[in-house]
Amino acid sequence: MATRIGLALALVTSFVAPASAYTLQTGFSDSCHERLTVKAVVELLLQVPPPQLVLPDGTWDELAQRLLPPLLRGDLFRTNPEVIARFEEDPVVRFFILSVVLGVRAPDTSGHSVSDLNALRRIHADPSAIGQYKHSLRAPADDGLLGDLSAINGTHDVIREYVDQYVEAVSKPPSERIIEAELYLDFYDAVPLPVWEPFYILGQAIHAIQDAHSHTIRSADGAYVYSVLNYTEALTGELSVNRDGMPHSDGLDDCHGPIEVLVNRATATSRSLVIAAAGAAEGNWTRLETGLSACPEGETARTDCGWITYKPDCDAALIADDANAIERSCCTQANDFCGTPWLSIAEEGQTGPYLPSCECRIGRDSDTDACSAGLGYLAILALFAARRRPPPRPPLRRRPGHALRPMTGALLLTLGLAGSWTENAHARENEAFAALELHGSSLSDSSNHSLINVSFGYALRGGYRFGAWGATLIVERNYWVSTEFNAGVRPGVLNLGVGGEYIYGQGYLRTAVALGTSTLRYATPLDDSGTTGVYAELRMVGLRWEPGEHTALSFDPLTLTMLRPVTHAPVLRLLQYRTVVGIEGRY
Amino acid sequence: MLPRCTCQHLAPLILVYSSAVCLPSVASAKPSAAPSPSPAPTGLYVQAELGLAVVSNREQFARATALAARAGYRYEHWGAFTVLEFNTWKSPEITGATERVSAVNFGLGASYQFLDGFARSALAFGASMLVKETSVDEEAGAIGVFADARPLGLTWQPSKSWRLGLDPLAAKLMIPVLTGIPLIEIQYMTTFHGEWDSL
Repeated sequence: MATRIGLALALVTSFVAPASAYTLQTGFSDSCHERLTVKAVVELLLQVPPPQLVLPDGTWDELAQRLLPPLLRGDLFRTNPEVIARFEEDPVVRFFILSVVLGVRAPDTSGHSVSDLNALRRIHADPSAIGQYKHSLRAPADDGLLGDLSAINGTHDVIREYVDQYVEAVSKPPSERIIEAELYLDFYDAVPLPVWEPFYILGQAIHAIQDAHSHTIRSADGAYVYSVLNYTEALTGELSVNRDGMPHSDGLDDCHGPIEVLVNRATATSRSLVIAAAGAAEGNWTRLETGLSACPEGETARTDCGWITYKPDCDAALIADDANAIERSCCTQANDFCGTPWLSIAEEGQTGPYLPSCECRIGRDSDTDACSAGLGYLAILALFAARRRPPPRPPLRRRPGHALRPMTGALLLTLGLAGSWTENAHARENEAFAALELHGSSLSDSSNHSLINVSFGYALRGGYRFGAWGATLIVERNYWVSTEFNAGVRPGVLNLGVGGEYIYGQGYLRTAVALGTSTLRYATPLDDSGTTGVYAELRMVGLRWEPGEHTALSFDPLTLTMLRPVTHAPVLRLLQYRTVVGIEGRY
Repeated sequence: MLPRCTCQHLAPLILVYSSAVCLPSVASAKPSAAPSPSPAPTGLYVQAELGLAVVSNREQFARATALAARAGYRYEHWGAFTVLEFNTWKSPEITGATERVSAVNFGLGASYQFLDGFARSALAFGASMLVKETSVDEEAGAIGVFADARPLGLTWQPSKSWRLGLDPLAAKLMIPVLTGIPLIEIQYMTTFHGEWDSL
């Protein structure tokens, strides 16, 4: 009953009165934070009447309807018809769920792509104490058993700060409680979306308290923390378990693993946090402080208290500075962390340096082990497994501009250089041609963009050459590989274009350009199949070879293709660096 | 009919690329209707380069810039060179601000010229050193690796000892920081160069 009242309070206070690590769903990992959070919060939405809220305009609702069900697949969305009905019927429910889901993802992605290497590095390599406490991890200075206490206290402070922000958010007029957050969508980049600020903040607080169950080694029943894990020093390879605690573990991050006890406790604790936040918004901070305090002896099954409680006898021994008591009561590597059953799981998938044995530096003591480029490539792959945290980030400011425009000069220069080779300009005979081509792209170098830019496809090109110059018609299919929420091949686009080409270098070199339309071949979370925009292609220099009178082979090692099938905001724009091979018939 | 080389048994795709390697012999067998660029020189050469990553970012023109010097020796179509490059790029921070990151790259490479020196391919590997601390990397001096691939470039010879060139699209990979989460920078660059050779 208290739960029901509390949940209702949370919604009501967040909405009306000015009164309130686990994995994420990606192409590389399954949804844990999102599912646990919705499981904890959705009942709240079902137990109160639909609030009267003027919802923001825009595409957020379409995105919520297309994106959230698969993101939260299973559990409530598959088994609870009431949830499904409310979700389908009530846009306010969709808005609130979208807000809390974006909130719980924010500490790990800050709205960036999960494969944006620069962003991930800035987020994950943040050595500040607060940066670690947001994920219930040790800061670099948190050494030894006292480091456990420091990390726990730091996480308590982070949760208090989030609840403060929640209370501040619910004190605003309702119209000001809608803010903008970003969500990175495959192929669209970061899309700004309206969110309900109180729930967006609650999502971040829930993230911290859930991480307190996946980033700590706990007692068998999950009630007490035995040790806090370490990420930053595990990454640098400087971690010593006795001093720094155990490394962060992918095993404990996987909510689908054999850790139901911890997952259930994290879910129940998340719900209690929502109730406590609602109470704080009403001026009653008791529930929050109860949650952050130890439960009374013998009542460890409760989840409205003792959310992140260090083993009491060890805590007392540390405060008393009693060495014998510390040795007797505290959990360390020497006593297998008091025999906790979670130790073996914590030892699975431990975080470590991405490039082992590679530390080269001028001006400091160096490890001179060989560092190869191959290891660097492995780092790219390994980094995709990285997940976790960051601070808020202001929306991107986009300046409209045509990506290919700056390349015009380079194209003209290429043609100018090509023109310097005059020997065959008038030697080629006129001919018709038809070609079949295969293309593929792999990486992107754009800022604030996923590093992965995998696409592939085929094209038919036909036309007529007047000597060295040719006119071309192009029909092209381009398939895309998604990685942000689910890994898979998407139907991509159909491109139709016209182009021109110039052949030089005794017929061995070709420069070509094409322009045309690009049409979506599937419904994205934001746009329908059939949406049509523009397509442009620059092939600065490619190789051709004519082994027979009527045949030619071609190889363009690096071409530039710009696709913009959706030209209205949010724009879908792809820049592909392709490698293309083709076979051609000439008549 | 296949050109005079030993490429006939290779797969078609490899054939296309290797045709470039075979081109000089083909070229010499064909009559030239008009003057063509001078043959590839044999001897020492030095090169100055400017590279710009002009299309990789929608918010900024030339997100990355590279200034480089190359020196090497060319023997007919093949060349070996050393490269020293200063590379700087704009790196977005989580707060939305932009930070400039800089590295110096030093490496060794090989090049191949064909079509009488009109076209060339090059590949280089070496070390990359972070020259300025960043908000994530508190100290400069970290050393990692870099690679530079230029699949196809064109050159023009305005005088006997001078050449101008363009690599329309080249791919660079730099990892100046190998520890922790590595600092990995990928760039697709357009590069202009001027070259002086000793012959």
